[in-house]
Amino acid sequence: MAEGGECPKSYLSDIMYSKPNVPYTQGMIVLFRSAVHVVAAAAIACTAVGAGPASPSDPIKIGVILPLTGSSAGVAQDLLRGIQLAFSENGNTVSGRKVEIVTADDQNTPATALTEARRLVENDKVSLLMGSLNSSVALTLLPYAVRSQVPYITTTIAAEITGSKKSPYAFRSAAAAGQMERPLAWLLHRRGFKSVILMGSDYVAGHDSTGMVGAQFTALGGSIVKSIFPPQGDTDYGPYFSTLGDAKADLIYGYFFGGDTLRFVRQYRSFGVTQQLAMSASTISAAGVAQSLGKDVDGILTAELWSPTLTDPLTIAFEKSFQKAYGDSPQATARSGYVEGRLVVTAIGILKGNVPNGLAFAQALHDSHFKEPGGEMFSFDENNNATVSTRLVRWQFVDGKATGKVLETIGGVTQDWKAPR
Amino acid sequence: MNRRAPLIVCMFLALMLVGAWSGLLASFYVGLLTQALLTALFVMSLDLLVGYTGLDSLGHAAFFGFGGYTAALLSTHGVTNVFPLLLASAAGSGILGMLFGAVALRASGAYFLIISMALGYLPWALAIRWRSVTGGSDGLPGLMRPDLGFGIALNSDAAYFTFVTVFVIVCGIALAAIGRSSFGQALRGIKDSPSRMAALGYNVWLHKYVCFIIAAVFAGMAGMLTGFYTGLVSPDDLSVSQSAFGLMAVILGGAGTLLGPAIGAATIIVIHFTVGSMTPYWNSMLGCIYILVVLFAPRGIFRRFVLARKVKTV
Amino acid sequence: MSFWTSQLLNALSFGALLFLVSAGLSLILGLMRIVSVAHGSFYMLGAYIALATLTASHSYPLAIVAAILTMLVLGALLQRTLIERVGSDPLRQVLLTFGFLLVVGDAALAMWSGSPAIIPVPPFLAGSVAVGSAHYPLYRIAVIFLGLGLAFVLDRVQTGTHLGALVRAGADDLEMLSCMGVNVRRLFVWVFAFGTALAGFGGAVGGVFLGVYPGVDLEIGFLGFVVVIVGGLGSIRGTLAASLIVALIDTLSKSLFPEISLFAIFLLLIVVIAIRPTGLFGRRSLA
Repeated sequence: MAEGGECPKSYLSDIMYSKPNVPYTQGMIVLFRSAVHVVAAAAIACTAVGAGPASPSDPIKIGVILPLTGSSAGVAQDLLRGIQLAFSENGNTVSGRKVEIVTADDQNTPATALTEARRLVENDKVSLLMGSLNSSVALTLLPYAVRSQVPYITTTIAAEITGSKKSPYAFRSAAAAGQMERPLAWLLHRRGFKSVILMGSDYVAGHDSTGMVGAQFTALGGSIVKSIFPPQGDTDYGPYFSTLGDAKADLIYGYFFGGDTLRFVRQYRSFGVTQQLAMSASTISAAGVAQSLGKDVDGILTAELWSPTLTDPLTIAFEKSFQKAYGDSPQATARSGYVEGRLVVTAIGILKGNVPNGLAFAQALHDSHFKEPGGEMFSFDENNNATVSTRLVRWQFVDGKATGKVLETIGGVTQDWKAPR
Repeated sequence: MNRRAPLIVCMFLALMLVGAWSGLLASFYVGLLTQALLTALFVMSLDLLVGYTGLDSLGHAAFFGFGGYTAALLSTHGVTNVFPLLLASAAGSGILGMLFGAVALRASGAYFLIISMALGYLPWALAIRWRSVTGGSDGLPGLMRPDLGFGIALNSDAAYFTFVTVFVIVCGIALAAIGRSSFGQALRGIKDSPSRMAALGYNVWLHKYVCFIIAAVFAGMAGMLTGFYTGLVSPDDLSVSQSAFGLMAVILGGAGTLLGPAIGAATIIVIHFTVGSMTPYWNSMLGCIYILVVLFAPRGIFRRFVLARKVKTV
Repeated sequence: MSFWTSQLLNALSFGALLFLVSAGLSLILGLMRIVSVAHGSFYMLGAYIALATLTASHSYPLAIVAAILTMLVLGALLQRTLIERVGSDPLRQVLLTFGFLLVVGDAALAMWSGSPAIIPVPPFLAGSVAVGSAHYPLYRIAVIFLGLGLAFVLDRVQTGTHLGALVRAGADDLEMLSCMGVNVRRLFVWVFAFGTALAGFGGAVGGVFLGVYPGVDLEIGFLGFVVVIVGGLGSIRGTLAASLIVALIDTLSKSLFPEISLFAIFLLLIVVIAIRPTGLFGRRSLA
């Protein structure tokens, strides 16, 4: 069946699409048409020419790359709101200079994150990159940020970011793998738990986190009974729980993320598993997971950087500010975002609103100190890793609300924190 | 196939090359075009399967990713020249193609679609499980770009872009040549009516098998170059979504035209990272594109809007 | 012995859920030869709508009814307005339904945000039952009975009623059916809608222990496909058997050989298609 359409009518389209008989003219017309197409394409491409360098009165642009769609979207939105609050509290201005946040969606995929980072840095000319919730993505963005001499701040836990892959341009404003796990293991061991089953999602953070807890436990004389790593996104933990019935352990430590956490805890409860459940930070306390779990959350122990139930003045001020801006009370992830944002605000303040280049910005970030919700003073160690406080929290579901009660706090925890003898 | 279209595309690419080297074209777009070209190569290889031979495969990304992983592993063992790496990825995905083809070609029609998808899942599951070798779901990051030999490095975006452009054009010509050859004509015949071709004495299964392997080889090389562009190979390169995207691009562009799917794929990539970045709902935009194309341009946009312009001959 | 008992129960309950989801797809694929990859979307929407209705009304029966009805209507619309136009080319069907899946996925994201959610257990089904020395959730046992009950009902309908006869006849020879005066088009819409309603019901039920989150549409959709292919098209018994087989393989591989648990299902699918494409109980093939 022939695919031909009818002959176009206008003169221009005659030239463009019909076929004259004279060979010389034919050739010229082919060339002409090609040239027209190419020039049109070039015109479009010219809009792709990058803008010139920013002048001192232009706003400072901050790029935030997060999984804004997909199963981590809730947590990502929480983090973003915290970041945005830190800037909007000051009217999005620091030291007289306007600050603009540009967001991008990485879909939790390293390749997409990289392309977005390139767009932010090379097209939008951001002076700083923040983000990702996923350690794999962070580890892909890190070399790019370093190569492009743009400071990169993340909250992900992968140890390499301030360890084997550290750089003056790389910062972690939250806890590294181990910073929560080792104190948690020590506190749990002190409370009488001696043998642990480790269950973690099968990716770098799951292995890092459970590995650290296990190592600290054994160093204190405890024992690891079993290690299980279900694949990310696994739907049915039933088979795993069924094998735990006869395992001689008094504690399960779980590291899961997002939807996996919900299913894990729900199935843990419905199988009547008797071992105490402890989970890491940002698993229960992220994006409404605790609330969704309802009564299932009772009695779970977690390690947290912060809890909304704290009563220090900065926490109260932060909660008020968040409530006013978003009509909602903040959770741990939002607070992490807020701290990240306040860090950048402080750094820009140190530079008095003038960010000449990435190195100066990085230096200012490194030197930033400010008080964070929870009452401590924020600071980086020499590897650009944040010093945090680890709090042991017990969760309860009371009057229709899930709350975490802080049982104990260990302050001044650095990446190389060791349990006291 | 519209004879002017390839010429226009080449002139456009030449212009882009000038832009890249002179610095007029923003480096983000140079990178984007590189990605678009490699995706176009991937999709062209799929077109050979789908458009020429009528084998609708939903597992083609397996070869794309496998080529990437093979080369990545080799490069971590010290191989830095781009040619042996290309050869390795071609060989790796070719062998995988031989294995998978033998199994998948036992089925046909919709069953082929499903079994190709299931087969495509296997390398993905392997990549995720075999952490010690493949890095698990984190993949293998930190890949250094290979060099051309004779001390010519491909580290700069412009240099890599140039290499990729030349390579993809060469591969495109090769694929077109295969399509126009008697082998390619036989494939078209098989798409039309396998029984007729069998009756005419052609070894239908062998033709399909060889086509499958060729498609795998080109996909593997595209995967390898993509991996070294981003500096990372990960299970996402092997995923069914990647395969599905390829299939969409083939339909979108017009199966069997080679250039149509290539342009279709490149266009979607460019739209994704320019317009699509402005909204968190890129997926539904893409979904709408698929629905609209299936309903209104089922034989592909290229056929509908470009080839249709050809004057009817009596 | 209790290890095997609990694994068996796990397999049965997961299998029952798979059956709920796949029964509809078996009809859609078996009768109408429509390769719909959007089936998981109906599961997901059913779960979300059930959750939303539950939160608003605190009534479980209402939540389930809402899930079923909305998916019935949506399925009918999809078939009538889009799928009908596409004809019988499986590739176009896949692409169309995949586009639908993407759009629905984003719509769900917009309406309910991406946070993973889980439907609370109905109070009268909470708690666990002692099985040997282990405990087993009561809810999952209820799901087993639900699945088996539904299978029985559907089988009776398919083999013992006029409507069932129409469906079976159509699966065998559609042209003949239409020659006999049956309004095939209307039959299609009803069967498709019924299939999607079943998926919605599956979502409301499964949302309690699997939860609902972006991405569940692809996961469940894929599993449904495996079940239907392995079991054979259009056969309720085949779908039930395949659901149990798939669930058994999934459960056992996870508990005994976690390293290969991902592969096991794919391998099953490959083996079945390579050796016996019509599935265990199917009579006609898809091609």
